[in-house]
Amino acid sequence: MDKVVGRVIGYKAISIIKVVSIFVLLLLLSPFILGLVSLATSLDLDWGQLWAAHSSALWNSYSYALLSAVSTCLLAWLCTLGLFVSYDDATRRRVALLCLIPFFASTAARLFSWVLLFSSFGVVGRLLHGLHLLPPQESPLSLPSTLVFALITIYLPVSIFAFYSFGSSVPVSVEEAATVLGANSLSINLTLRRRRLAWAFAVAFVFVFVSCHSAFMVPSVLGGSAGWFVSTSVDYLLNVALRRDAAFFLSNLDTFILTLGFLLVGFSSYLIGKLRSGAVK
Amino acid sequence: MRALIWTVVLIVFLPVIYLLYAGLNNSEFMSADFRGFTLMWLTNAVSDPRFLQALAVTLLKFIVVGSFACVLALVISIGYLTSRRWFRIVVICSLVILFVVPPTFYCLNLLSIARSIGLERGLFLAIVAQTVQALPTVTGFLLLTLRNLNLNEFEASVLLGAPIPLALWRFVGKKIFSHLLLAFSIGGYISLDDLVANVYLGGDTGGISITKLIWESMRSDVNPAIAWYSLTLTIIGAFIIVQFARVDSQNSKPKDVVTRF
Repeated sequence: MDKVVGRVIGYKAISIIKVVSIFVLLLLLSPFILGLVSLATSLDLDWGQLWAAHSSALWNSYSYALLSAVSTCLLAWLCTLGLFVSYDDATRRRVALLCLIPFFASTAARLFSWVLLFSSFGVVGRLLHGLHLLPPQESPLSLPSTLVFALITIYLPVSIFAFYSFGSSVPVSVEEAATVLGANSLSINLTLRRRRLAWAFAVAFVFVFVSCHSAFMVPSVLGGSAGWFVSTSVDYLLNVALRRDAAFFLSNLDTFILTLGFLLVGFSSYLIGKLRSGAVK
Repeated sequence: MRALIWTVVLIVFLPVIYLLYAGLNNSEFMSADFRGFTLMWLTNAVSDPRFLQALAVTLLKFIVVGSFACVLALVISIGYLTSRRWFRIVVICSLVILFVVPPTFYCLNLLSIARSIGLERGLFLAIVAQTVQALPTVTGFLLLTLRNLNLNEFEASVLLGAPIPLALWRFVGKKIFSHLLLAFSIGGYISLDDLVANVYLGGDTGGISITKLIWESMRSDVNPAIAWYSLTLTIIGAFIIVQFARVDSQNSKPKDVVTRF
């Protein structure tokens, strides 16, 4: 592409575009760099005390994000497998698009609806109290399972669509060949689409995990004490406890752990891929 | 398997269906009991000046964030595709970092930088934070689109003497127009979820968006008009579904063997 673009719009223009791209990215990354620098310079803070006070927020953020991401991906994988096994090409495309529609109702809109349904006067709340699954004095809104359920339902539509998109990239001729050779629908989908669905799992997992981890609105309203995520704790420290230094410390530490974790996982999977391709050669 | 799929479809649609039900139910409280059909809550919402102001702010952000994210993503994508390895690694790492960093962290540190250069909270800072939030997704989408683009026809027409803008529109712009529109709407959609940016960076001059209006109403005065605020956001979000469907139908069309001129 670079040669064609270079010949047509000129290599000078390409150089300008590259410089502008790097400049824009550096400019946009400056808050991240500032955060890391201020984390490094906050060594005089009492880390032990801060860790004791806010480790539960870090734990909640990571554990509930992990639980929600794994559950969402497993459910999406099952649904997509069901789509491929039970429906023809045109129908499964329509169903996948249908599943995607609720994702574009904004998070605030869907959260508001779940709050109404799970409140003590809502359908689900009344059902839980009526079946004596929950004591009358306890609100379903404060259950950790409600928090996880809301996070799953918010990101499930887009995960199903991601699984469907990856899974449908298997050529039709390969499916036909497997059918001629006597494979049934389930085994075709389990074996032929396995690799692509594994990629879909990785992509959907990263997206859902990052989104759940940085969620602010959902844990503020649902989950009771389980809703003490880093985002909500930072908000509390800034606006209620008026502890600006602790808020910055917690936020910077969390971002440092998360970014480092993702970059390490990314580089190690890249290196493993390189080593494997080298071994094949 | 079919039962599982349709149960999941029902569960993910339930919030939207319930919002419609609550908005049309003739009950002052958001109870589950049906007390007749009314459009009073819709009338109340539409005649509320705060809601109309919030709608204007939301639409403004949708358009500005969508456009900014689209233009920046296009520049970064062209830079990426015309570069060597080291540049690509820098771009990918930067986008991964921007994707991973929580909005709370980004907004707090952006505000510190803005204050150090004399900028105060307001709509501009909120738009910057929202554009950054949208940028990785929009760039990822445009990168895939541009990578699969065949530029041979474009180059051939330029070599044969066609004016560059015309050839650019005929052989590139037309092909990726629906994808660009989808990229724009993805950026705009991400701007709808703007509570963190609005709370931390909006300030008094940042304006109240529909999301913030829902948030404030949820905490103070829960009434069925909020259902219509939420449904309005859903209708704005429907813009992206239309773009998705357009791109999907374009991709599923059988391709001509012979290109017609």
